Amino acid sequence: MNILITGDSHLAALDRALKGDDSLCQGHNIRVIPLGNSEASHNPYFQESKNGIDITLDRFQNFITELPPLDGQDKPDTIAVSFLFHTVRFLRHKTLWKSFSPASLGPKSGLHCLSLAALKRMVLNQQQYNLELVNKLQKYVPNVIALEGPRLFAHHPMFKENEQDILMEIDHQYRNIMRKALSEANVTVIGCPEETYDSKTGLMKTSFRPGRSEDYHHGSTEFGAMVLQDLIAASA
Amino acid sequence: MDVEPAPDFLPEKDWQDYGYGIYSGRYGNIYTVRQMLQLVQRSLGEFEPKEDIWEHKGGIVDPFRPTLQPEPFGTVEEMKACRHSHLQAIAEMFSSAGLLIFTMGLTESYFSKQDGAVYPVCPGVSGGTYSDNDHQFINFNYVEVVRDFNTLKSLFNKINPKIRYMLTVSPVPLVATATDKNVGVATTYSKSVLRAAAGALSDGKGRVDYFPSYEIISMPAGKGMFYESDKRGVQSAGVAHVMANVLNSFSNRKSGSGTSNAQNVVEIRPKSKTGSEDAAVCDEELLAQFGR
Repeated sequence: MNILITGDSHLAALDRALKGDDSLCQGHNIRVIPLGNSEASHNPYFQESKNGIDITLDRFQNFITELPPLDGQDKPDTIAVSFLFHTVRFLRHKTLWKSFSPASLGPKSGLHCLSLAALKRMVLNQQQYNLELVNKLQKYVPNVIALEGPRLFAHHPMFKENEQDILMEIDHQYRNIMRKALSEANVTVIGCPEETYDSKTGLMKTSFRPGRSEDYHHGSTEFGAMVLQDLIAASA
Repeated sequence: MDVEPAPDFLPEKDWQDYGYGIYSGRYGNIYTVRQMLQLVQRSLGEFEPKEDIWEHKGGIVDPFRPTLQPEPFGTVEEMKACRHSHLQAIAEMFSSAGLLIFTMGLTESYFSKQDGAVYPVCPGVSGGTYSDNDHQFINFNYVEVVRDFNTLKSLFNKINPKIRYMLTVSPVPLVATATDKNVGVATTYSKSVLRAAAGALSDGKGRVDYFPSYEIISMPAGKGMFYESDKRGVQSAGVAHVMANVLNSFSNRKSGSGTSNAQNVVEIRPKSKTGSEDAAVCDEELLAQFGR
């Protein structure tokens, strides 16, 4: 089975895991080719062509120019994309969560309530091109999968600047909105492995930090290995 | 003033769908003076309508702004949290505004028989269920409009005595009437009542002004040139012409009129960023299609 994993910086944990332990492949041909920074994926970055998807954004073309890749290697049976759950870019807005709070938390003095419908519109707007990509990819590969990536780490500086319950609720709603949208698009989601986060707080366990103290949101190599196992199982 | 600005990440093209960027707050269309009065009363906690939730399309809407967003709220709690936040924001706005611009739109309305709460649309059109036992149609007369506005002024005297008022009358004819009259007859009644009330309420001292946007758009001398092809909607050119005249009139006033500070202006009038030819969601259109 040929599996291509693409997307943003969250692929690094998976790539490290693969390179550190060949047995993780379980005999499958697994390639990890990033596209680039997820923020750039919030604007148009591809167009459909005769054979698949042409990547049109210069920054992404540095890594890959078409999906599925036309590089002579076997065509993937599965493409896994990691762009679709990167909530941190949404959450770390400098001012937004100082003046808005999700309505599901009830009224908060001095903050504007944000309805779930408006939040959904905001999330789907941010993810519209990534959703379009996974939709279109289904024409060219049998199996398209979305990788959720890590939940939030408690040490992220955004928690010092905003109320934690607001950020956690927005993160929770964002992921739910995307899960539903992907389900409607018949795209399987590989969720963040349950063992990696605290079921009560929803926060990632510190043992799954990547090691660099200035990294506040990526997962560790061990995290990457766990996601890979789930991905292989879902691709079978 | 915009006391309920749109959140970042919500595209500007979607603002109107979610009630952002239309008025100074997300209260939706305020058609009658009674509705305006009750909005202020509700924001101050002086009036809590008994029928305060409507079910709609598997969710919940606020009966006092039922078309706020394309989808209903998921739960009563979510709707009430949003309403609480909304009323809190506009209460602050009402207490700090320098000028209230209010366009009188209609005299026809529906209200709750329980406590007199008026709704922007007939119950059952955008949520809730109409019942002759619970709801009643009303067509306000001149005395009621004047009395409601004076009550409104009395309320403002308590919370913001320096506020000034600019009254206008919507030149948009009724699309339908709940009376047994021809819609043309009903329109003339409604506009006549509102125009006469606005004239009587303007005090000539600058505290309550009337601005003749109704006349600018609808006077026979204009030959209807500012109306859309449906002879009802007002073209964006007409709106721009009125707004230019409003700004000219008030910028030419001597200082001290209290109306030149655009930061403190509350707008209670339809506003479309791209003009009326856009498919603005309008409660009246719903009424035309589904209304009683």
